[in-house]
Amino acid sequence: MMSKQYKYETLVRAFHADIYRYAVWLIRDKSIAEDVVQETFLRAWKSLDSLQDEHAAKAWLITILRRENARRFERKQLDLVDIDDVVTVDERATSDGHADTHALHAAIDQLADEYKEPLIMQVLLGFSGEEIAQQLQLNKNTVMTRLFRARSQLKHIMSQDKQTGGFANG
Amino acid sequence: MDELTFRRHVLANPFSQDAQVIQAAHQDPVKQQFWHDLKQQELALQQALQIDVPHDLADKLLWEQVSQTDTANFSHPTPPRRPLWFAIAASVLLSISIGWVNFNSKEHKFYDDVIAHIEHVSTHEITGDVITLAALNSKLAKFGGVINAALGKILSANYCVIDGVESLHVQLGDPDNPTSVFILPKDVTVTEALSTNHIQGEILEYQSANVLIIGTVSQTFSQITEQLVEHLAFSR
Repeated sequence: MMSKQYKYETLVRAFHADIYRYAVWLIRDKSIAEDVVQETFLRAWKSLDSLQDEHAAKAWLITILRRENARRFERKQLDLVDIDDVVTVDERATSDGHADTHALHAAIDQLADEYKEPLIMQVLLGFSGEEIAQQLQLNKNTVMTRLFRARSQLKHIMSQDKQTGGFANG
Repeated sequence: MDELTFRRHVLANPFSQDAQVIQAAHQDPVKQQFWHDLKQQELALQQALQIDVPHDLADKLLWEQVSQTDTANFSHPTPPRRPLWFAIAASVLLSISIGWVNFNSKEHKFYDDVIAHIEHVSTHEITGDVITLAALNSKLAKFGGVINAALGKILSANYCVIDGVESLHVQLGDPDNPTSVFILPKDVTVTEALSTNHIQGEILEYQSANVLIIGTVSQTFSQITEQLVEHLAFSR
C-alpha cells in the first residue's frame, strides 16, 4: 500500500500543474477544470496498477482527463458553460500582466477546439505529433495540418490585433 | 522548398531541425524572417499557456484521494489523545528529565533525547526559509502521512535521529517559541503521562505512526494540536 501511495503522490506532484493547465484551456472554466482534475486523479488512483510505463504517465493522465471531461457532458450534472461567459483573459493572465500575454490568451480562445487542443498538447504538454494523434484518434497528417492552421490563425489574429492596437478579449 | 511547403512545415513545428527547412531559410530572407517571427510567437505562446496553478492543488488532490476514495487505508488519531505535562520551566529545558515521573527507563531516555534535540538543534533548523506545505508533505510521505490544509507558518521540517529512531521534526508557529512536532514510527512507545507545568506535550496515536507535539506557549500549542488532529492523516 505504501508503494502505491508513494507512486500516487509522485504522480500528483509531477503532473498536477500541467494537467490543471491543460484542463483550464480545454474546459475554459477554472472551477470546473479543478473538479475535473480531481476526478481525473481519483480515477488514476483507482487504476494506478494499470500504469505500467511511468514514462507514459502524462499521456495516461490526459487520456483519463479527456474521458472525465466527456463524462461531464454525458452526465449533464454540471452546468454547461456558455462560450461567451468563459474565463476571461484577465482571470487567466499571468502575474506580469503583460499586454502581449493578454492578447495571446484572447487569440487562443478564438481558435476552434479542433485547432486549439492539438496546439496546447504540443506546446504545453510537449507531445509529439504521433502522441497527439493517438490522444485525439486522428492520423498524424491531420494533426500536423491542424497545428499548421492553429498557428496560422494565431498569427493572423495577432497581426490584426496589432493593426487595431487593441487587445480584444475574444 | 517552395513557400507553402516551408510555411506548412514550420507552422506545424516552429522549432524544427529539419535540414531542408533550415537550408530553405538560409537561402531566402523572407522565409528566414517568417520563421524568426514565428519562433518569437511560439516563445510567447509557451509563456502564455503557463497559467497560474492553485498553490495548494497538489495537497487538495492528495487529500481527496485520502478522504473520498480510500479512507479505509488511512487513519486519524485514535482517541483519546494522551496529554503530556512537563514539570519544568521552558527556560531550563535540559533539566526537564529530572522532573519527569512514571517513566520506564527506555521512554525516559527517549524523552531526554527529544528535549536535548529541541534544546540543541531546533534553533539551527529555523533558517528563515519558507517551507511550503507541499515540501512538508513530501517529507511526511516517507511515513505515509499527508496534511491537507495549511498549518500556519512552517519553520522547519527535517529528518532526525532520536535515540536511534529516525523521525521527522517539524517546527511550527512563532520562531521565538516554536511548537515541535515529531513524526515517529509506530514501534516507538511514547505513552507515559507526565506531571504538569509550563511545557505541554501531547501524543497523537495513529495506526501507523505516533506524533509527539511539544510546545511552551499554551494557545499556540493547542491551536497546532487541533489543526493536526483535523488535517493530518496516515496511511496504514
